[in-house]
Amino acid sequence: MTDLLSYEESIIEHGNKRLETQDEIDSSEYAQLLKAYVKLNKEQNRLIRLSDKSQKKLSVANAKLANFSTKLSKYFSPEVYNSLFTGELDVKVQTQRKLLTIFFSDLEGFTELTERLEPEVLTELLTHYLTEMSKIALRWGGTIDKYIGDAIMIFYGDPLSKGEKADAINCVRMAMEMLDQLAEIRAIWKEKGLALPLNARMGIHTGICTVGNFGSEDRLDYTVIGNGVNLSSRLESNAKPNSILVSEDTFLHVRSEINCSKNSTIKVKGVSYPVQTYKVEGLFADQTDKVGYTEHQIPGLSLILDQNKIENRALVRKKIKEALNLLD
Amino acid sequence: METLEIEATETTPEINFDFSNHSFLFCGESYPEHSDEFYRPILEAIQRYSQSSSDNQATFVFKLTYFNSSSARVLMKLFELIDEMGEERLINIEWHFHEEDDTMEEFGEDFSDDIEHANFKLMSYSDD
Repeated sequence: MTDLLSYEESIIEHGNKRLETQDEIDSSEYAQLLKAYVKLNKEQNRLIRLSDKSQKKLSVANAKLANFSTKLSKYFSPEVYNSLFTGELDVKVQTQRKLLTIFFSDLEGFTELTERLEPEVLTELLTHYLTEMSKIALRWGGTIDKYIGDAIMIFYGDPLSKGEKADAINCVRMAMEMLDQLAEIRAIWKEKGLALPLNARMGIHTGICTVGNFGSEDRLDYTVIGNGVNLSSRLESNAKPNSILVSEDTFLHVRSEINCSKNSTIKVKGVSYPVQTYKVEGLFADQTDKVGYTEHQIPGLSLILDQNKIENRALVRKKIKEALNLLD
Repeated sequence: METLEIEATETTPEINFDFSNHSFLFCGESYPEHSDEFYRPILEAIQRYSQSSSDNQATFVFKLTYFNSSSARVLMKLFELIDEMGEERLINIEWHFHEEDDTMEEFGEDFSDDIEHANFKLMSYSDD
């Protein structure tokens, strides 16, 4: 039985043998060779056509996929979207405990605005506000969890993290930039005749949370849950308009770069102790009170000296001397 | 000859050769890693069938939705074999393609050009 799949090889083998023998090739052999060559030529042309068609089909499919993924990407935070597309994030119910910094913001008096404004105007206002805020969040590497009307929830530390301290600092700096941007948005809408000013409250907390894909096998939601989420939401609702309130846990991570003033304590459901809060005042680099501040974290020594906050200079001197004596 | 049945996989088509009813089915996608390995026993079975004396007409049904280049090469060999068989007996070839699949339709037309001794029918189907 002729092996159809190795027919060409057998012709080549026969041809080589005939050349080796140096005998004259008769016309029937030449005809056989020519027939095989014609067949091969036809096969080759057909395979090229198949390849070209497949390539064209692939290009069309790729273009469709690119278009679809662009649309899809708008429903995800880029951090999540990229993790999904690189395969780093599995599409299954999967969670983990992690130290995250969580941000909440809300517009003051938004409910009143929804009653006063025409739906079209409200949509335009909300789109403008959320678009600008999202741009800032993405620039600072935040994972946008969700929008709830005018409220925004963002977290830092998953799926990508730059380290706990950097995550917390980036989150606070994002919030500060958002407030600056909001001032511009407020001016634009005031110009357009918006009667009520746009004021935001912001809350930030750093703590252990559960993050990942929650839901069912059919419908997943990549989000974060835990007391930390409730706490940051409470901080937000306790913040004064156009201010950022952070928890002590966040303050401890950001205090070297961000000036915060001690605020009141708040009680949070699910947290047994009163939570100390701090109000974000600004970057140290922006302020003259950075002078007189020094911080050193080295093994065996944790030193933060802020002359502007010293109430009893003699006591500070005494404590430093006691520490120096320990080294003698 | 005993019926030859091969279930479809992700990369190979369903094969069902019912020799007693002289019907031969290829259905699904074809992009096996080693086309020669997959198709060699299939081609050999057809070759054996072609050598058996029979006055019955045979029907070859192709309902392929995708095939790669090496499978296309095998298909060309197969059509060559079927066409040779057509010199001895009546052969029907049915090439089924989805009504929206221009590529498969064009390939059917292309393959039909080589067939001289069999009836080659192009048949479209829809999702219904």
